[in-house]
Amino acid sequence: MRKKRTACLLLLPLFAVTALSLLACGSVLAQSLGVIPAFGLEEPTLDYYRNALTSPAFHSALLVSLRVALLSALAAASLGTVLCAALVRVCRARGAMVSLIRLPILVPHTVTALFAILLLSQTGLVSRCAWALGLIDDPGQFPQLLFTPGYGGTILAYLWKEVPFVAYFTLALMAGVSATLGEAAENLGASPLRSFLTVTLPLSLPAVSQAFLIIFLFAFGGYELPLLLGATVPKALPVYAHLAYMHPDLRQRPAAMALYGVILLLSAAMAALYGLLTHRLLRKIGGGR
Amino acid sequence: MKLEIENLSVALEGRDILRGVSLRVEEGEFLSLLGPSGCGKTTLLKTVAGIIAPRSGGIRLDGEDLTGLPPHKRGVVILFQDIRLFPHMTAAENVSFPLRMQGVGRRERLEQAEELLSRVRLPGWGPRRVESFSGGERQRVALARALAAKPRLLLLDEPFSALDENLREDMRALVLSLHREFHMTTVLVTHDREEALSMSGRVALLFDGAVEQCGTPREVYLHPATRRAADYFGGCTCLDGEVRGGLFHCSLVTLPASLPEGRYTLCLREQMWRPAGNGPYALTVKEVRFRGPETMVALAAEDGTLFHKRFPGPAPFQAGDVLRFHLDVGDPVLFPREEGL
Amino acid sequence: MRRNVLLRLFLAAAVLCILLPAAVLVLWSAAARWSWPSLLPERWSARTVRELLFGSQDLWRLLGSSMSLGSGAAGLSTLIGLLTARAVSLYDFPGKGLVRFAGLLPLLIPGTVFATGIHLVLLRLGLADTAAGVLLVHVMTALPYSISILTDVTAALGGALEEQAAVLGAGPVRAFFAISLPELMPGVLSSLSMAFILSYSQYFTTLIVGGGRVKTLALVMVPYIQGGDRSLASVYALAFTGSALLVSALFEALIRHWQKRGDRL
Repeated sequence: MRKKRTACLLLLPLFAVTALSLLACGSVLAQSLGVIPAFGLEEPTLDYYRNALTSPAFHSALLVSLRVALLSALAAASLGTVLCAALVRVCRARGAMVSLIRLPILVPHTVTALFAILLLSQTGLVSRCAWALGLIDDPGQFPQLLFTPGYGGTILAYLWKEVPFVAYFTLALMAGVSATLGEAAENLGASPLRSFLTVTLPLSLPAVSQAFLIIFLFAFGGYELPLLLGATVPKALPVYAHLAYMHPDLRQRPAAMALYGVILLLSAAMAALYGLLTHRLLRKIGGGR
Repeated sequence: MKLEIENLSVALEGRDILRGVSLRVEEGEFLSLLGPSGCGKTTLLKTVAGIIAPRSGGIRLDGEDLTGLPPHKRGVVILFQDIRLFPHMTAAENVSFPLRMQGVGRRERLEQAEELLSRVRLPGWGPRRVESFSGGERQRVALARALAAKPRLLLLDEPFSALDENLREDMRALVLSLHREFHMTTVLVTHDREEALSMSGRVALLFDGAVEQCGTPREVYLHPATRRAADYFGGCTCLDGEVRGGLFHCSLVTLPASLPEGRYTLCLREQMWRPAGNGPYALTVKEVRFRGPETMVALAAEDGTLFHKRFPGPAPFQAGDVLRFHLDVGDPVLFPREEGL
Repeated sequence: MRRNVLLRLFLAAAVLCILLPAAVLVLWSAAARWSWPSLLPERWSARTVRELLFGSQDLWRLLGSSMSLGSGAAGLSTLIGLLTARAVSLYDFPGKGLVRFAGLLPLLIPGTVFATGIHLVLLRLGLADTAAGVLLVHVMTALPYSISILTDVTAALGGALEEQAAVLGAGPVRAFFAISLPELMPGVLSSLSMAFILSYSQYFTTLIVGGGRVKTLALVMVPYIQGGDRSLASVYALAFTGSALLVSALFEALIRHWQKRGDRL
């Protein structure tokens, strides 16, 4: 076919970018092992990892991030699938509604945090509506969703962006399946609901599960929302790590890098594990599409 | 189940697809819906099945008005052109799907599925996943699945067009035998003329969203109602002329015709030309094309009109030869000629 | 149909959830006084707008730097995306799977780790705390999306048209610009739009890699969000979101115009 040399030339910029990415990861890992020539540290050591992994502050931070990531991803996947089904069934996956659903994807997490503050804080709009409905008399009676160790506000803010993301990500697949196989199922005697549950939904799962992984990893490693909406104690892991990184004592640097290293390695491990699990599961359901 | 379609009009995305289609299919009958692509055959099927809503007109199955009834309650099953087997289910699960929807228990429905698979000559194929099946095998599973739904009306949307020639013959025979066995009212949509003529009890010609003619295969082929119908089956040459005093006159031939005076077109099919050494018509060979089992010969009459006739095997003719024919017109097919046509 | 009613309600709730925050943002931006439990501001004022336009932050310079950074990132990301998409879709070589994985790599690395690590690398390259460094990192972040979009359209188009042009005497570069590029335009515009929005919205990467020297609107907005002045925070967020949506809408219009042009041909 075409010349391999041309292909190589075309791919040079990508190679350069990939090299930089790998170097970035390598630098973090190197420094986490205590290798920082600029500070005179030459010996690789696992001490910083050991200290990190045994610190109780780290444990609570890790738990927070895992919890936020898991709950956000699960809720977003479920609600996003329902939203997608609604778009397919009611709007036939076209029109102004679909464009509207895409809007939250364009809004950055920082602005989403402000939305959460304006609506969900104890003096926010929802609280005022509760007063108007006679449910509360005092802002203090409105449940605290923001800045709590439960990170409820953070999860809700993630949902605002991620539910439309799941819907949009799954839309093309679900619309296609529904129009052909879903239609055939109804023709064979399945009510629209049964057709959705037995045919359309199982065959749309590959897209939903991919979206789940993307959201999970993103929420796990996310910084902006936990910083702006989370509690001061316990912190989310990326916030905790960045704070350590900003420590004025530069000898603390490897400790911070160890925290980043944990985030990196955990993310990679979870992605790999998830890939293995779903590959086998999806082969059973959808035949490895 | 008897199907009655009355004055059905369907529009899709602003365009009129079906204009006042009326059709009747008797109980247990096999009807072919024949027509060129884009004439609305698939739309008609989908409207009868309830997938598309008509703009006006009525559909009745055994007297019951289907308007407003959702697709899954009509008992009208379509075998789609793109087959649409469920990829995440085995063959048996696919076939037993309608039974599952009817509430039949798992063991019983899988047994019935196995039986149906045997009927379509795939015995024991139940536990296999459908993705590895060939085109013909998938078609057969889809057929079994359609039968499992115990349809009151079976609609086939060009089911054989994607298959190889040899496979098509087998599938046609299978469909016909199942039709006989289950006594099911069946409508087959196709653009293959030979298929329609050979398989059906009656053929309905659909042009531009309306029924041009409906009758037995012989009626439709030998006595086409319009020139378009005659042209559709091909192999016919049309001669313009006029009827005067009970006779049709054109440049080549004069025939008795008990029709009112006026301008008419005569439709001649190639079988009407009978080679005979003493025949009254002399045609000159213009072109000879050998095609294997037959030879296509182009012949010109005295007035220059071109006719095509197929001769079996390699015919010993050359350009310039003069051949003599009888013309067996039988019951002449004459269409009134309109101004400007 | 009963089920459709439930779905329609769900859609209505979704629309409410999306539009309500935007409405509240606008209200807060113009509110002089909006205390609990009023549902609408009690007093209006243009204070925040004045602060935004003429205040301590130079809005126009911020917009300028954010927009130029965004445009640069969009252009570079799309260019590299085109080259990569071409290589992957139209050429045959071993290790394509690896190349595809490389294209996705920045997506798989957690943002904080990526920003911190890249900052270390850029330090050694002398690009840390510079606009060029920030631009580079924005391009790296947007690249997976560009590659994804452009690979789809390039693969869909295939090499058939260019082969035809070559047979008719056109050189490869000419064939690309005259024949393929017009067909790829919707994908190119889509990639430009996506990459722009991504760069425009970057906070953590700009913060770390820019070292505080590169100021963008996305960056400057955050201390206001953390602060207590909801009106001021809202007006900055409004300026940001409004400008982002404007650019996005512009690209959407361009894409639609281009597709209609294609339909007419």
